[in-house]
Amino acid sequence: MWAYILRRTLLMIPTIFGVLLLTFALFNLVAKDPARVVAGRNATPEVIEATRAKMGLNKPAFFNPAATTRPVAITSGPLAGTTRDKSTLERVGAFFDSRFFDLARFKFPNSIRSDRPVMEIIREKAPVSLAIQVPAFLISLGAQLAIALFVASRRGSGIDVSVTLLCVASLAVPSLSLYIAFQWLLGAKLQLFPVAGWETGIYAIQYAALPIVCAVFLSLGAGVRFYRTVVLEEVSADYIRTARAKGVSEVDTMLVHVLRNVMIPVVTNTVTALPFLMFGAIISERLFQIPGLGGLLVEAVFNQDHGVVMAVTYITAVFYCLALLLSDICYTLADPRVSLR
Amino acid sequence: MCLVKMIKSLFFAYLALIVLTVTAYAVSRVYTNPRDPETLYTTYLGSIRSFDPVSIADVISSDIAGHFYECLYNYKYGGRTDELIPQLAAAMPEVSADGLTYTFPIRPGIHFFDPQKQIWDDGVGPEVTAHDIVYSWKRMADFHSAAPSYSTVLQDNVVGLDEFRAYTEKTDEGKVDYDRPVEGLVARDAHTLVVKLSRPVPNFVQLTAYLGLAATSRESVEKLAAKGQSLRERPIGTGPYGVIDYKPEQRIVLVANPAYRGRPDINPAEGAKLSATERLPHIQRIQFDYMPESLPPWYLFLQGRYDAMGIPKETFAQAITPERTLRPDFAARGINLKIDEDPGLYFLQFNMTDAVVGKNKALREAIALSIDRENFIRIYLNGRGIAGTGILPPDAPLYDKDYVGPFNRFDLAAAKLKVAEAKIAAGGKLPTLKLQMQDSDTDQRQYAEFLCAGFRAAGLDVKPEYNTYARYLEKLDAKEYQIAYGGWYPDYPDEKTYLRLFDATLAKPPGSNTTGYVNAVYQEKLERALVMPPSKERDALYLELAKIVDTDLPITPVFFPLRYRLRYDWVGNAKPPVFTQGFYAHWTLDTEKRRKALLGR
Repeated sequence: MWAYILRRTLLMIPTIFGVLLLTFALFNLVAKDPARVVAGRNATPEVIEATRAKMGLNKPAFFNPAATTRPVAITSGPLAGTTRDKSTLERVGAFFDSRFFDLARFKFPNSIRSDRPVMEIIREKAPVSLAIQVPAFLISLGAQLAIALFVASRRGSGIDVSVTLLCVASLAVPSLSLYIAFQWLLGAKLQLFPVAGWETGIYAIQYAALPIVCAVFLSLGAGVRFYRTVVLEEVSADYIRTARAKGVSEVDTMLVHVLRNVMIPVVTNTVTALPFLMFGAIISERLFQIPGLGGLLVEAVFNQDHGVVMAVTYITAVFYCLALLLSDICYTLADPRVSLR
Repeated sequence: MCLVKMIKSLFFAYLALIVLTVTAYAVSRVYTNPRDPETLYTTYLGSIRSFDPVSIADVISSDIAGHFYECLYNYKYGGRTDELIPQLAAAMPEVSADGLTYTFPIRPGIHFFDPQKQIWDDGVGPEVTAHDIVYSWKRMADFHSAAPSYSTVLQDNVVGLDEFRAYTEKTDEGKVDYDRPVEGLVARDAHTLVVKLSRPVPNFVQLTAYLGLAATSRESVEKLAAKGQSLRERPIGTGPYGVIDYKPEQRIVLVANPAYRGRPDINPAEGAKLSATERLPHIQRIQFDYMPESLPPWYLFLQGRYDAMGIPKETFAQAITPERTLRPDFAARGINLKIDEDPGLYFLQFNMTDAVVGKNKALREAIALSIDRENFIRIYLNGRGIAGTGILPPDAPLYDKDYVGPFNRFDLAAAKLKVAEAKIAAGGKLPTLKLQMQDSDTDQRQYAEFLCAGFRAAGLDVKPEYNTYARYLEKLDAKEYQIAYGGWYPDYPDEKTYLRLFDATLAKPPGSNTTGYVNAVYQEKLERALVMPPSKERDALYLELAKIVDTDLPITPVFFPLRYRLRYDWVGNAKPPVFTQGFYAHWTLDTEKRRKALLGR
């Protein structure tokens, strides 16, 4: 297994590098000079240059050969005030002192909009997104599985047909419409939940509730349909018929035998969803004014805040690759027949 | 068996999670964070880039920061848009006969306010002196500050300041010596600032009211830097309020400055004599919630959770009648409507260096005549605008609501005749023209479709091109466009801010003359007007210049925006601020009336 993990980890490097290259190229094509926007419409070349320097955009795109020969200033000791040549290691470092390799080292430029380090913003906003996404995900996962097991055990019945129809209908509802409708009905009219906003501490729960309700409601259709299909495949398997022939109760059959064997798709779905939990729900955070990463991403796209968009894209790619690796490992736990080689 | 137990445990854990969530929700509802009765609640729509005055260049940040920073002068609240009052300055400056030396007296007894007690234990900083003003202006000149307004406000104006800037560019950030003398910027004593200009700048006093030149304390900047912080997120100023809580993209809470002198234009000693009702600020706390979407704050406003707000486009008809009055059900709830002129101008601009558009005046005239401005405003702005009939908008002191430029009107028949004329001038046929838009969002697409439909009706073929804002600016700078939709927000209340859009000396990038308009007669008159002190002669010259532009048509105005604002009747003395900094200090809040009105809601 360790050899497999090592192999997969090594394979992640070119994948992440590819994502990084693509993201970097894309954003450098879209906005040749974001400093021009930040500096303002009438900024002089000097102001633009100062802004560029402040944003770290005065470095070359990929490689910095000019920096390799630049001497290093000595700031302390008897030779203070003089300069010395760079060592070989320093030269290598200077050669890669570029915007692309800054990005690869998670050294992101400041956000154009807020002029703050992107990592600082991510650290501040990730817990808020998680406070909405984790409960929403856990509640929906449990509800999806429970409903899927229930309707699958009654395949073809009125309940099964009704639930399937409801699921298809809910898939047809655009999420934005549902958010707005829930916000208006449950927040503005019935005043069951605050319409929008955020507080810290225990007060956060009341603001998180409506986005969680919406997220759970929206995920049910697709989730129940998916897990129902998976469960039905298992329900028609020989071992289930055997279990039933042995007189195992329907509840035990579904919960013990079927549920365990549908764990692989559950694990895949769960683990690969983890990176996206951190980055929040893009639409709901903006509509409910939750100061999380989803809202940040929308804001960044609207404001052409490329530092933030690049950082979020890159970090998501890294987490996604890690999540895929983790899901492979989890397969072995969920199903002893799977072994990693 | 073990597996069964595990699954059962999972099932009960899941149930427990649901129960816990519901209980926690109920508890949080019961212990709802109470709304402070003394606080005015309102919203802001865009994220704040920085609260460091030298970095502020947008209206939203500037509107809020104007409550905790003060400049030497401010615009009078509720007065004419160009009426200045001395703020940190004790009086208007003494100006030398040649107009090059300004001596500003600084008010004694004003102290920096640090409500979070980050720098000074009691929250009260040292007295503001002329040295603080010198320091603040040098900060703006510092290359590392990358102050976007430096070129508008100080560059080429103050003797020796550009050299100081050149020095900072060569010096590492953090090692700049702010004690380095600048010939034109001297604190003669603690309460006298002397500024020497390198050329006459008749509106220099107006420039000193620019928020970027607000007083900041060197001690606070340096102590914050030592803690890895800055004024960007920990602002410290001298204004009527201070920032007690700032959560980026969430909330800004301002608290009244207890040591504030009571009015911007008096000394603290005089402020002590003011009665409680005269003393500013009237409202003790202001909470700004970040609400980038328009509907949620609207619902909250209707619930009485916000005291004032604008009207979202989507709900305009819910609140306003077709006659542009407030609907009776809103009035019955104690809501008032205020309609104010919003500074600024939106227009179509022409590339005067373009072989087709720039050289064919009849074509520009045809385009100007084919814009149905009234319908544009009615359809896309819910009527929230005034048809742009000249380049001077309502915030310009010389604005004349009855003036109509020769071609800035909708006349399709005249436009068709001009198209025929333009075709002859172009040698028989006009190519397809391109209209550059600033973005690709729905608004910009709708505007472009409407405008192009008007051009089509006049016999012109114009295709819109949607850009990112960065690309749009690049095209303007490089003059790689024919027609572009654009706007201009004034830097100060003087016609000059609009007239300089056609200054030939600013025709090269990144100058503000992005049309590339060059007219020797205009330029001669403009240069004369720029150095003239305010007078009737200058006004006449300004109007003459505006007429030249309206005739030559490097731009054709589309509309001047109007702001519709709703306020509950417990909010008082809310006047259009336009350029006034710290305007909420003048607002009043009848907390008892609000409490009674919101009972049962």
